[in-house]
Amino acid sequence: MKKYIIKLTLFSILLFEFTSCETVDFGDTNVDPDATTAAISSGLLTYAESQIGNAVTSETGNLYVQYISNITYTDGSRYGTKNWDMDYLYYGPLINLQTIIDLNTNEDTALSQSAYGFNDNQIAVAKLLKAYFFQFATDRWGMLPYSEALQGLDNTIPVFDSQEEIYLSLFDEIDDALALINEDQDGPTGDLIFDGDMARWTQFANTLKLVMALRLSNVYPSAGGVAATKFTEAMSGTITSVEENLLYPFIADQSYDNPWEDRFETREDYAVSEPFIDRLLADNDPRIDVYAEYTRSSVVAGDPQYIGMPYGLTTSSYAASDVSFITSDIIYEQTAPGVIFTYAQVLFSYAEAVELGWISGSASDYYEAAITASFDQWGAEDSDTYITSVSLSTNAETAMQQIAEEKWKALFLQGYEAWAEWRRLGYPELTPAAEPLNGTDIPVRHGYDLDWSQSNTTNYDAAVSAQGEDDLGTNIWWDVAHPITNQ
Amino acid sequence: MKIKTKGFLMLFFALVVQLALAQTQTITGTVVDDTGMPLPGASVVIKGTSTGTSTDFDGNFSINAATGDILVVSFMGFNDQEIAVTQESNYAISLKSGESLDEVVVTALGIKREKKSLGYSQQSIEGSTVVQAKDTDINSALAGKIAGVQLIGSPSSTFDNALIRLRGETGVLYVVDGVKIYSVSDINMEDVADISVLKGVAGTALYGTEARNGAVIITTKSAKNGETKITIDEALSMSSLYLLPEYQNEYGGGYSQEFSTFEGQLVPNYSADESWGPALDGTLVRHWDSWIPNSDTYGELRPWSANPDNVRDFYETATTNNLTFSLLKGGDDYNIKTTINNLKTSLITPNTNREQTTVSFKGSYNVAPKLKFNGNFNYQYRLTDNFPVQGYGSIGSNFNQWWQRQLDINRLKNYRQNGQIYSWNMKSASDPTPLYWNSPYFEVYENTNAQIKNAVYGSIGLEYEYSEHLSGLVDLRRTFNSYEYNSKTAWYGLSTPGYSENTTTNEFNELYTQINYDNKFGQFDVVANVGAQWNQRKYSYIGANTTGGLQIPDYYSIRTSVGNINYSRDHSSEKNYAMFATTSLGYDNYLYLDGSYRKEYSSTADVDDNTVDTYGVSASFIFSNVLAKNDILTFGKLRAGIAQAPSFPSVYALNSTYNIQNSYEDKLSVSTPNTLANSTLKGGIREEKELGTELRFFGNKIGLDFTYFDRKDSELPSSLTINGATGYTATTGNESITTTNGWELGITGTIFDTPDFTWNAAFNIARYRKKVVKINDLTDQTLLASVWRGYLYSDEGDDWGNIYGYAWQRDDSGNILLDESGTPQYTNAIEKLANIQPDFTGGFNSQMSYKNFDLNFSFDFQKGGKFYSVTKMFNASSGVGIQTVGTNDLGNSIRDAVIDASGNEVTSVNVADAQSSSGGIRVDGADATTGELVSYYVKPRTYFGNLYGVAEEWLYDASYIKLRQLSLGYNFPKSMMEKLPFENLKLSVYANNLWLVYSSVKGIDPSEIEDYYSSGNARWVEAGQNPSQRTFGMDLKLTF
Repeated sequence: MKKYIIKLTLFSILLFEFTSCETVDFGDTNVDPDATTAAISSGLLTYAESQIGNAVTSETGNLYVQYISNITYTDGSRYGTKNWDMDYLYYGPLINLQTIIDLNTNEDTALSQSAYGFNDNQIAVAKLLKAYFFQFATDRWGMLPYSEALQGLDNTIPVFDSQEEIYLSLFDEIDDALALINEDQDGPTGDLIFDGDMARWTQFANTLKLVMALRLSNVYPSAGGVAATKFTEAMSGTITSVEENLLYPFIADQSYDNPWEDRFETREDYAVSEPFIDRLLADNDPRIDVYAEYTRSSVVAGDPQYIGMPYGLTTSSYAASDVSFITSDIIYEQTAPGVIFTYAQVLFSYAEAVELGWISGSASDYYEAAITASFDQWGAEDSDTYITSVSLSTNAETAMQQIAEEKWKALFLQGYEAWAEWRRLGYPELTPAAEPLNGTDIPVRHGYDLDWSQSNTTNYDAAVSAQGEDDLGTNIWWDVAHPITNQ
Repeated sequence: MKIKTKGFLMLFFALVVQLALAQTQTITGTVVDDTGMPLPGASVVIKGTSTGTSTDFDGNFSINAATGDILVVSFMGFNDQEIAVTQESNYAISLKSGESLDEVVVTALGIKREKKSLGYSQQSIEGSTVVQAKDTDINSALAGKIAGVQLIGSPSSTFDNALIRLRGETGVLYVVDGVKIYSVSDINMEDVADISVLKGVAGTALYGTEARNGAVIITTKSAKNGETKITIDEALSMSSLYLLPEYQNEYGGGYSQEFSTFEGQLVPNYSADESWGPALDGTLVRHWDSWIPNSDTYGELRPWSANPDNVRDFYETATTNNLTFSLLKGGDDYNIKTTINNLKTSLITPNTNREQTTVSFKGSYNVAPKLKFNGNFNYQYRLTDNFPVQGYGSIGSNFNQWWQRQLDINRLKNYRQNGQIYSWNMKSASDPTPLYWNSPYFEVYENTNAQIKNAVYGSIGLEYEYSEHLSGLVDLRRTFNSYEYNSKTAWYGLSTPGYSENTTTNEFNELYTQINYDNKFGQFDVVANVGAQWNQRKYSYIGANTTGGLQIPDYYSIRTSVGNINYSRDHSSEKNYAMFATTSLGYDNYLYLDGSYRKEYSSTADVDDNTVDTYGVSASFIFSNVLAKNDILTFGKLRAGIAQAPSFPSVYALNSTYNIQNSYEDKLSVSTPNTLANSTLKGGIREEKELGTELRFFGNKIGLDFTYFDRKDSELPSSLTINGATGYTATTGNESITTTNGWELGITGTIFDTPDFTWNAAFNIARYRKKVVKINDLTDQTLLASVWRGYLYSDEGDDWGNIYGYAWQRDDSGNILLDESGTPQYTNAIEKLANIQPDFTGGFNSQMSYKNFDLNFSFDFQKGGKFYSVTKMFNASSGVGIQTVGTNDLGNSIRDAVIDASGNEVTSVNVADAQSSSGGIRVDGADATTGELVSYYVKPRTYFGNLYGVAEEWLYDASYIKLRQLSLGYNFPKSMMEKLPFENLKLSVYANNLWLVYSSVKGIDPSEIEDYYSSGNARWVEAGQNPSQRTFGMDLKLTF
């Protein structure tokens, strides 16, 4: 028993011993075994690039420009969502890209990060992708936290910059990136889009710059102006063929496959829209065969037909078998690539630049080459006959409308890009949903993330007062009348 | 399991045989009050020992005692009496009613204290009152019985456990015989002898961080010295559905009121999962099963008519079989207990079964005169064969949100015909693939899941009594839970076939030591304890699931995945060390002063700042002792206390780490964390002041217990959301301050107290308000959760738990603004709409006994607090709910076509332009542009669809009153027992979840909101609420 008493006494001594400690060393108990503290810039780039796949396959823009229609649940085609999540762009690709830039810039980490590609090349790619995502965002929402964004706790209430400031800064970022690119050195190893081929990134940079410059046609219309200058600078470095189209490579892996395929795995929510089908049919456009499928019921009946789904019905009782779906090469194909920018778009841009007087050349030649590029891209037949039927008018206004409408056809399924171009060009004339759930017309903007009015109130209020109501109907800065068509 | 049960039976019979051999001499007696009425439940203890018993219903007792022993007989509200044991074997004892109230209760760390000495609120309930209605979930059993317990129920038709909130917080610590357990489902309810609920920090301070939200301390049964008791308890119950939303039965499935035709026959729209279809007028149509080739129903035309009970008929009558053996034996220097419980239960959802066997063993014996070994071991094996799916997309969501009202539920059982799987929701007549929904029977019989739970907890320890005044103990405690789970997405259904499995384990180890000192110095009593604990908690999860489908038809294995196998794991480990000291000083049995100190270290805090010191002081003053004796106030006590509890960061919140994503081919993918780590995160302190009084009047006929508390949480590590443009969505900090104050009131009364009839009743009510004083230096608001366009926020300077969402735009008189098609307009930004905290919660319990019968019931209630109902939202927009039919003020069905002035069918028309034959729901409001009052007739499908996602429309008051339990028992008379080998035989009938007396929302029980997208267990939104079930049962209890 004595032993036990001694033990108890020892125990109490021990007990009071440890009251004197102000801290206890628990070793590595609080180190998470399931996450890494090691910064690996290749992994960050793979992650950031994978977000492009979602951006270029979103259904939203495709609904707005009426490429597609909801079959049953028509909320989307009736503009049912006013406020859109934006956080995902910042905490998703943008902060990861910023981290790549920081890791490759900081002297303490740059050397170790060079294992994942030449530092400057990594920085250049991250800057280009940042520019891509910021343009993608500002084209949807207008004013955005930009100059004060991505600073973590150093600035939790970033101000909203004007869209003009954002665009001008993005041009600088692209120019910086172009200056940094060293094609003789290794590209980033995490690059899943171009596999580290820096020549392709030079093309990406210039093509993005060209598209961004043209986006400002309505606010900087003059030849020799900001937009025209950036446009002409970019021309020498863009993609130069259909083969060089900038595509996002989806693979046969549930984590990285084509979202269209995911959407149609169990459901059938979207069909090709009636206005789009009818236009293709009216124009005898052969691309209808590569864009859409015959309706199932017409095939069963032995009389294959393309029938578009009426757009934006208030209540719909349509059966999926009675309307045409998007080509099964996309909606049932995990590896159908996502389209970032195409040669057709580049050529349409040249045609327009000629009309705007920014560059010299034949608008008609560029226009026809653009249509051919679109046919080639989709594997459609008989572009020559079609081109003859839609040859470019010599009247600048008519020509501009033709360019806009052909561009609309060519940008099929490039939803957000097509929506931005439709807003800028004002053509084709589309009829909004009969009873929009928000506003009265086709949306020209997205409302800010619902919680932003709460989480950054002062700056949110300032942005709303500078830009206009936070709804779907407020025109963003570059969305004014086109200098030629006045649309 | 059959084999195991047999084994238990053999063990049981072996013990019965052994008992028959152990004969001892006993003395018997009767305890009555001063009027000669028997006192049931009076305590009879041999002085100086822990040996004792209590009187039965007739005041009789029997006890082993030697000549010369002194029996101390006590009963609440009466003066103790001491009787010397002589040669006499029978004693008649009469107690005088008095003021002493020396009830002993279990407090923190299992320390037994006289209740009157406590300077804080504590409430005990006997196990027998909790299990009277055989509730297998301790939390719902506590509902309404303890002031300040707010029940947060789970749908009764699921296997989920309810939660309780004490003073506004969930995360209550459950301790069983000193062992901290992981899940309330580990508790063997049949084994519970006493439950002590410690609501405030003053009561739980000795537990430190683990019990900062309160503690429920459970003591299991044990035998008294000389007692041998065998109990067999068998309960059988049946449950059935009792609450569903109200459905319309006038219109069937479809999106429009026209059928399509095929070869002259009418064809409904199978692809629709809404009920805006043609009127159910008996027209002959080809139903979904009329297209199944080679079936009996192929080509069949059947009437398009209502099946009002189709949903009700899907649910079955569920059964529960609850069998318990309990074996108790106590001697001079030992005490053993074994409880074996087998519970087989099913739910009203078809094919949902559970079987669990729990074995509890507790024993103690004196190894040497002053050295006692204590041990307990508890093991539970539980097999759950198919949990009902909850949330959006579940069967509850299917029936109440997306359904064709006319469906004949029995026909849906034939989902497999000619080797093909069919659903009512086919893509079209020619394409039988399901579009949105499988047959509900396919869901429950094919898309199944299963879980095996193994739970072990127990402790071994030594207790040494150095002297009468000084003792010490060392305990080693361990809790281990493991769950193996798998889930199938079946072949040929709606979704790509798939399979997933995972294993979760929780582990908790504790080395605990405590030294007790107890002495008397004249008028002063001193009780002191010092102790220390070393804790370690571990969690591990490993899971895998298939992607892209499975390779072998009808076979489910991770290794047959078509795509890459998704593998995930999550491990965590934390350690916590603590020491504490406490002293209680009592003066002359009416004045007590307690002080405590605790120092705690945690591995989860900043290594340079990982300790928190906390203190507590409380006092109790029995003022009735110093007042002149009177007939009104029998007992009066005032108590006051202030105490602190530490709170440490959650695990791994200190270091920034990158999340590892699935690789893109051979390319690693990692991403920055969304929550920004804070490397200087430390522990914080909760401080609570508590004031209370306990009063008893008229010789304890009426009792009152009132508590006021005021709590302040400072520097508690807490998560806060930040604007996403920072690149992060959340961080953690130590700056937040919240306060909670409130009161708890309990009133007990003896309404009748006659020899044949007694009636005791208790009422309790409580209120708390949790306020956010400060969030952080960075922000004055943090987002707790968001879903379905509803947001739960914490706002600085406001009550915690505000629901935000879109609101209707209104004019100054409150009219909703409408656009020119009659569509109500909602705000551009979200607005504060409501708060989830209730105004008050409480309960009412009654215990009556008349001769050999007893009748008990309990109500619980809540007033106020809001929740968001997605079920109600889609119940309307899909045309399933009752509100989607009826007539408008023109006397036409609202489902009739809306007709404008020119006679055209439109989706909406201004009332002024409508034809008198127009249908449509009338919508009144003010024109959004002109402000003038306007009214429209709007197609109901359009109208209800327009209400989607506007949270203001779908918030409901969570007030309710529920008759939760009712039981009627009959104790067979002693005279009858004499001829039988039993000591006691009791037969009871009971009902659980009996009657939702009041609720402001029809068809959903606000006391059973599902755990969907909750945050901090807020339970503020349901998205696919499963129905409620009601249970009736019968219980037979035999004691030998």
